Amino acid sequence: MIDNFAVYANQFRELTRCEWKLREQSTLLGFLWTLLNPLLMFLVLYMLFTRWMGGFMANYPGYLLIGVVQFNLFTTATTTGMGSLNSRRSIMMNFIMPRELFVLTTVCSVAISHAIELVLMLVFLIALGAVPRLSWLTFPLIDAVLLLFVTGLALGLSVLALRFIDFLRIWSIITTAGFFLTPVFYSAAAIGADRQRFLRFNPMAHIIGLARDCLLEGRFPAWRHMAALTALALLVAGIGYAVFNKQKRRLSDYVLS
Amino acid sequence: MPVAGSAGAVGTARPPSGDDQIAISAVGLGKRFQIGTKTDARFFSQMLAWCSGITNTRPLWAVRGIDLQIRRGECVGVIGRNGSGKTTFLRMLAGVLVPTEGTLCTHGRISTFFSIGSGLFSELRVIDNIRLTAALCGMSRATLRQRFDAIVAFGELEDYLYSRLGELSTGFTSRVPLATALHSDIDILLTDEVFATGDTPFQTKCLAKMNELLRQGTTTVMASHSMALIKNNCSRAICLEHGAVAAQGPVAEVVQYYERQCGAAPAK
Repeated sequence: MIDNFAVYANQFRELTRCEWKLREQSTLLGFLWTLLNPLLMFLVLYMLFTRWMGGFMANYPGYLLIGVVQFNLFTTATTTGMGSLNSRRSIMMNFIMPRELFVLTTVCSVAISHAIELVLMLVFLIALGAVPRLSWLTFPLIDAVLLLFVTGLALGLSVLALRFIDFLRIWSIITTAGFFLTPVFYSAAAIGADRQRFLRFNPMAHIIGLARDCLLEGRFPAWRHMAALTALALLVAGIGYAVFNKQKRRLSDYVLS
Repeated sequence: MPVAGSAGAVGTARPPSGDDQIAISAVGLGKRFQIGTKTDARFFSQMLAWCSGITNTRPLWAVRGIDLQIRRGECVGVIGRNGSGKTTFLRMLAGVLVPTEGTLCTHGRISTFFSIGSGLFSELRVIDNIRLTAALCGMSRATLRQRFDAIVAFGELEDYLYSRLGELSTGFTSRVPLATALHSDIDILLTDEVFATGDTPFQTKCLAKMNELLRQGTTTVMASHSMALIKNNCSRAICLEHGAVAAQGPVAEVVQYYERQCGAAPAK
């Protein structure tokens, strides 16, 4: 049992290292390429909503940056995580190892890139005038809930992506719609009070909102709000793992048939 | 411990006979696939098919009714024409595929080779791929550190360690997993035509290493179309036809049977 754990831990480490190197091409330039997506998104939205359409809200650059970075983690982790069984089918068909490792290592490699993005984001926020406060210490908790949520989604969706060849496309449409239905670049207040209730059902709206409150307003997350989100993330992770576990014995069959 | 006769039972415990010398025991082993799904593997097509009850798939038994016991330290050859079920059988032994029916017991750590370059990242350096393959073969970091030089020397990879794997020839690419796995602590080695791309000196070196492992008690199951390879290295063989065992026994007799079936000249 302990022997197996050590073997799996080593496999986890090596696969994560390879996944990360593939994503970042092992170089600073490679990492900058990965940063390009959220950076470009930030610049376009910033130009659009502050320079061209007038001042949208106070402290908009920080507000926008947190939204873009957090939503980018959601999109990248779920998309690459759910595609991991497909992209690593050669390993899956030739080596015996826990199948969960493919999804977990991919999400972990995305999380490493995200951690570096967060450091740059905090530096940027400080450069914009934000003052580090005690509430910032709760930010890793909010991020951990987000990671748990996306890991659960990636686990469940990876089975669907292996089973249905067009599921990645479907997910791409869903995440694009999700981007516009989440207050990433706009304020929830801008869509009217009656429509705001729909945002209650969007977990990403809650997570991004908590992150903004914590980093920009210096507010500690309300424990009830945090507990509800943690429960939801645990539920999603539990369902994702249950789906994955139920289909685990058939994953190789899906590759071959 | 699997229950004998249960559908698709797989275990790594001792075989039901209780014989310590049995490394692999298969009883009534079978694997069924649903084929024809590729053309219809889109989400909405599948949903439509599911709702209407119309399906374009049909069941195919790739392997069925295989009974086999392999003793520790034995080298068994698996031969048969294309599509006879060799790879599916080996993948079930490895635990990569779950049997649809029958019982399978294996005892020990298994290393597998089913395709050339399996599990490798052509965009990464050779050294990264050695580390990954070692981890996938169950080798710890400390063990890899001890055996790294031997692996590199065995694969003659000294000049290519920091090259991208994709820059190497197919023959050299296949050396990375082979050299690494042959230096890992394995009890059962499963190979499927993996020596095909290596040059003669490297093949000779691999076979010598395999014989060394055999002497140490490693069980080997080798699928190949090279009758010379099978005859020179295996004591016993099974010949598969349409997923079922058509012949099994001493290697010379089984090879002779297979060559008669294929109408080929006997291998020297």
